[in-house]
Amino acid sequence: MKKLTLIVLALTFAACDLEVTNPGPVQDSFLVTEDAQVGVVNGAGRALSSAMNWVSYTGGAISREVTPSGSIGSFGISLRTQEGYLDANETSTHWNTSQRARWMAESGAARMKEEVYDDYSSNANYAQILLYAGYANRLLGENFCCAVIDGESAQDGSTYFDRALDNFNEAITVAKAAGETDLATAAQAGRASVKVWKGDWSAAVSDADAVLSAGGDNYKYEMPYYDGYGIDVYNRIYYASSGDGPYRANTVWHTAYEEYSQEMGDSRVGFIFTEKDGGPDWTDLDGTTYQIESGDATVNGKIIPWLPQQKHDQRTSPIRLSSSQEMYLIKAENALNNGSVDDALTNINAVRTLAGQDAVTATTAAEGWTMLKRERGIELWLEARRLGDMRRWKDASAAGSYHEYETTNWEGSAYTPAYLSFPIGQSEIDTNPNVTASDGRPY
Amino acid sequence: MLKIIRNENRSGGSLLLWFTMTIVLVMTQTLSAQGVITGRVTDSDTGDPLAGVNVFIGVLGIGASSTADGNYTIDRIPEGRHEVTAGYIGYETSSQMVDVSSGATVNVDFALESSPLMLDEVFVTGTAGQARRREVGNSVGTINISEVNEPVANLEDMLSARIPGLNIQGTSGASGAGGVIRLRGNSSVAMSNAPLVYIDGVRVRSDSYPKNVPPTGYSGRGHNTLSSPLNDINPNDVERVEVIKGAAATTLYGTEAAAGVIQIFTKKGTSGVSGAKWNVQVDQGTIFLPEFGTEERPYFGLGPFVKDGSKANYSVSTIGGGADLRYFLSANWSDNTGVLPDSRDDRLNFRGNFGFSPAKNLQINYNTMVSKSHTQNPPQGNNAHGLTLNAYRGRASYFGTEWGDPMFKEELDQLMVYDITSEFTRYTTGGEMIWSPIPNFTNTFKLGYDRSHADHRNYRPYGFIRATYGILADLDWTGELINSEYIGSYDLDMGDITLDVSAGGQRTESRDHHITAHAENLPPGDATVTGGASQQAREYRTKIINAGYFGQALIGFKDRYFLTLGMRIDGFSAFGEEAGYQQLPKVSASYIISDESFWPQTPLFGAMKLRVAWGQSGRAPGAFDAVRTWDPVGWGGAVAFFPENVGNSALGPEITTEIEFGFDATFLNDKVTMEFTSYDQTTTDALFSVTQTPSLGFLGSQLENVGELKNSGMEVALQADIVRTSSFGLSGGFTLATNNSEVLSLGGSPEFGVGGGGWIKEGGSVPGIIGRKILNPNDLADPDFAKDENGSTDVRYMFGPNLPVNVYAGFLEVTLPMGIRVSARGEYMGGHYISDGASSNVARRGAYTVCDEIVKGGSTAYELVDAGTTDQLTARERAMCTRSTVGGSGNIFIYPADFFKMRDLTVTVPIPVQFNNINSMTLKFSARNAYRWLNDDFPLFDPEMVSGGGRATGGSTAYYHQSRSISEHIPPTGSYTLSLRVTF
Repeated sequence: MKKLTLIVLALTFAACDLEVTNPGPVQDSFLVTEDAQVGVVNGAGRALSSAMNWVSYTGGAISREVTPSGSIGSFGISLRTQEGYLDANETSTHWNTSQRARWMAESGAARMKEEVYDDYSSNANYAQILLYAGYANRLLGENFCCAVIDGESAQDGSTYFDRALDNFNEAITVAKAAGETDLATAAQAGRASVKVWKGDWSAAVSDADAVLSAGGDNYKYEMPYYDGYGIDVYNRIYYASSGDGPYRANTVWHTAYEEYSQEMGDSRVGFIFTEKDGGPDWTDLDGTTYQIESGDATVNGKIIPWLPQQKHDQRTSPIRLSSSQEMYLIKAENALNNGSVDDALTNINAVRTLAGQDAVTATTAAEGWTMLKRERGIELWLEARRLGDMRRWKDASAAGSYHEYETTNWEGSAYTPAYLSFPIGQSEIDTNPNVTASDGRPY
Repeated sequence: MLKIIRNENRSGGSLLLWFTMTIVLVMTQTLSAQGVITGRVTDSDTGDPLAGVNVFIGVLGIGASSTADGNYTIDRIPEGRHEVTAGYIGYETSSQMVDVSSGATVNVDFALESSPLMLDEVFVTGTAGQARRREVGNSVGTINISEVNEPVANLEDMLSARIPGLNIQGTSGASGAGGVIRLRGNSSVAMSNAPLVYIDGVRVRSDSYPKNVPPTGYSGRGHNTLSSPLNDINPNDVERVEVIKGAAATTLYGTEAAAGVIQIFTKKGTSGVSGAKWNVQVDQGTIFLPEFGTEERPYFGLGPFVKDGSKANYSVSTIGGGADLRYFLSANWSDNTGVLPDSRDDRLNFRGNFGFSPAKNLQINYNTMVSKSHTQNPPQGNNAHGLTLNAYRGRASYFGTEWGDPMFKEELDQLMVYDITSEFTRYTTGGEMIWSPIPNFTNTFKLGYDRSHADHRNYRPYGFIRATYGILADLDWTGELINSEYIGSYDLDMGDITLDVSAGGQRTESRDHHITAHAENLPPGDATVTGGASQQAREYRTKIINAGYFGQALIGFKDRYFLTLGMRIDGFSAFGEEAGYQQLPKVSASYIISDESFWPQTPLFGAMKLRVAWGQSGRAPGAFDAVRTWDPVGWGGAVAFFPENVGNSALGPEITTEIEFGFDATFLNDKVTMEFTSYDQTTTDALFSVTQTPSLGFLGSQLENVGELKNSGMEVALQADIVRTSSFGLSGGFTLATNNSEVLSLGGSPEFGVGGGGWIKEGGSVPGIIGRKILNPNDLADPDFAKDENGSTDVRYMFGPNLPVNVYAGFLEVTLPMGIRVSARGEYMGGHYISDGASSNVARRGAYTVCDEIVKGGSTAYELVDAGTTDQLTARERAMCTRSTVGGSGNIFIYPADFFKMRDLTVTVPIPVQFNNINSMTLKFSARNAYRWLNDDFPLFDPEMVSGGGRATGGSTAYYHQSRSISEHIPPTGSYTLSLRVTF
């Protein structure tokens, strides 16, 4: 009986012990240690790459950098987006990932400054996360109609650019103090593009010149993508258009770049095709008709040619955030703003020369603007920049015209994107009491 | 038998068990005996023999079962005076005192009186210790194996359509696919609604096995069905099932039991039988796929791939024992092929149940089950690499080839090299020790261990049409439940007043561990992950501990008034720091009103028990839900953190409070038995996965105790013994269960979806189905959609509940001369809605075959829409066939999901045999799901072919808390089975 009693008591006490430590997730308290900061910075970087993935792809479909051709679900382009609409209930993921990128970088920077580093003002991790914060805000500013910061009410979209400037300014200072000149140059390149949006062209050109001076003609700062860490870190544009998967969700067919690529052999906007008996007809620039592979799923029940883009030709293809080519094009646009078509062409042709392409000419401002719009489209193709450019030029009533395939759909009817920016995501509207569905109409 | 022997080498544990069985058999044959009691058991009214009656000597713990002719024999009985008792379901227990002399045989016959209410039947589920039916204030559903006529293929089939309030819905006709079990609807939105399952007192896994899907990429890349651990149990091993359905009865099981408890009792050894009794059963049959699709597109394009499957089941068991040791041993082998290519499932199962009496006041029971199964299916569900998806989509498939094109089958055949296999191994063992040191004081100790293991392989080899260089994912998952329990009970008899006091504690430790290896860019041939040029791995480990103490007092007066008071105090490792221990009370009462003198003594009224019960139970959050965590996601080979879980230190369980009342009664000379229960349950602090504000960084949702849910309904079970003679019998009955659910409060959180068109909003069902409602479907006009408060098309129009509101089941049994029986069982579910994702997916792509088959004036609906001449099309046809709008927000393919299915039709023919050692031989022919009726508004598919949820490790899928929606699956299959059973 005594033994039994002891057993019962032992079991009783054992049962009271409910302490469990499960491995895996990282406890929040760990994030204030210096050891954790590399993970915090990389987390912010991965978040930015994820946001770039979503925005560049769907934004590219709206701005007709690609034509929807396949899946309308996974990795696909929804029917509404195909028609030019960016609806809040279809773009929550774009909003979510972009907001996460901003919040992770900004809150990570604040934590480093307030709780982790005494020498934050010269710390490379701090400079790097500020850089990510700047580019995350630029992504939001260029592509989203409106700003919402940390659960507050909606603000004008330019708020993102203000924050980006703050981030880039501090990043430049800290990176220089830390001896991280590459980070400083990347921040300056980012600041140049934001200054464009702020209309501060002299500062933009000044930064562009500084970047070209520091980085040379082949300078670029890009967001990496990886294989082997899950589908979320693949280059989404590649994966969605790849034949090595089910989606084949977009094609270069019937875009401004289909004809240009063949005519000029410009690899910046390259594509390929695969012959297949019984597939849809595709006629190349020489007039030869092929039966080729179609998009796996079809648009409106019809089968269209599948010409997968080759700019992002593998899962690990990076997406540029800034480049010397963009700096030249900033200078070109500034020249057009100042009425100097020749100066604009000089800078545009500098970009074309770097791509091994023949120079272009223009005699009027309108032609110059058309060339600039085309060249930015070609150079920054599928880098989450076109939608913002189109909105900015629309706001500025910029001269020049677009290619006909940017204004017609493949069945021949007129195509005008209903919106040139992403709205506040339905996820924010549903969960943030300070935001309503009527806040910030996209255009 | 040959197959069983041949497969012994599949499991070392199985060999060991067989060895143990053999030793035990030998041992029990050598035990000594003194005297013999033999006799016959009959029905007192008809004089018919009763088979399967348990005749036993309680003090000695020995007994025997009566054979088909009612005869029984108990041997090896010590010399002396003994009380012999005969007990049988539906009859009053009868006892006689018998003097046994050494070497003598005593004849003792029993004529048992019918007692449909079985007020002295003993329950152990939901009560501390045990209680008689007359003492229990809540309803308890029971199934006894003797009531199951058909040769059931698995335990879910056995439970289906028998107990009101226990609802099992099919999910797919894929091989090995499990069903979804609900008791009184959904009491939770965020957590599992699967009832707890106990086998012989051992808590076992109730959530599904994890899904076979790669750890990265699209979460549907597999066959998208889940296997149920419940079906690891050999139904032929089951003696009895007890089901308690709601919080009023499950209080003592604590904060995981709000969804109810199912307890399965397997067969136990009987001592005193002259030699071991053997039971051999062979079932063989064919499996078929019920028709669906359209006339022109049978099986919606899947026709070229559909075939009849086969089923075979071989079962052997033996039961016996001596005065000190009793045993039940069984083995079972089933081998089935499915109705699609490359689909099969097989299962090998062993069980050994042993009972020991090492001392006069000590009883030990030890039960063990080992099961090993294998399933294989082609890729199905919403899977672009899948057979069914591409077949259903025709020209909008990922091959772009139209139905009827000679290339259609050839192209889809390329998908069949996709190999998706699973091996499941199950080991459940447990024992109880019952020690009574003094009269009326009983101590019961229980220890149990349940281990579920899944070995998944998801293989697209090099050269696969949709992954040229191949992808392979291997998942190794183990789930363990370790539980211990102590109950001390003291019974005090004070004349008219009785008092049973019980107290104890229970501890359950749940461990999940899974590792996935994933490789891409494989070498040609049969690859392993090691051969992949790109490799990834995932590992997850969780442990949860639940411990609680409980007490119960059962007060009786004059054996007809009973009051039960109980309380459980519960702790849980997953609670937030501020949540603390939970107190869960219960109270119930029962009243045998028919024992009162004023009760009319007429044929119309028989026995009646009134009952009422109130109690609380709960559902606990998951392992990490209470703490703020970051996900170490990695990035390019470096460490990287993502925000994962916001955390909530106050997170506690959701509490379900339920009151139920009703009666059990007999009428018309006890020919009619009826049970009625009305229940009303409210879940407060309901756990909602509250979506976080994206601009605050955490994109996921956080469990919060914010909601309030309600379930109410009634349950009726009526059984009538209409005609009963020695040569003819007719009996029948029905069960009726209703369930009305409502979200009473969102607690300030926004409305949210739960997948598959399911939506949670105040005033809606749990969950409700939303979409676009066409108000004028049959008018020759443009569709008039229901509008929201702003006058815009309401894309979240609430159609109704996703779970059935009304579930009716009926059965009929005819007994003919020569013991031939014909029985039928049908089931209707209705009042609910389902979203058809399969139709929506193909219509959104402009290739809905229905629109090709609607021909008006020589043109198809698609052609009329393209031409802008839709005058002859109805609003519904225009909505379905207008490609540019059909895919807009809000599904239009939402139907009433009512259906009726003939779950079983069985003819049982006893074969008269005169062999010396054969007691009985029975031949059965059974048809399952042979007839189906669907609501007229339900086209194309079947309400029981549903989505399998996301990449879950079991539990958090459509099977458990999300809504059910039609996906690219096949309906549950039907079957015809011929079964031969021999006992000797």
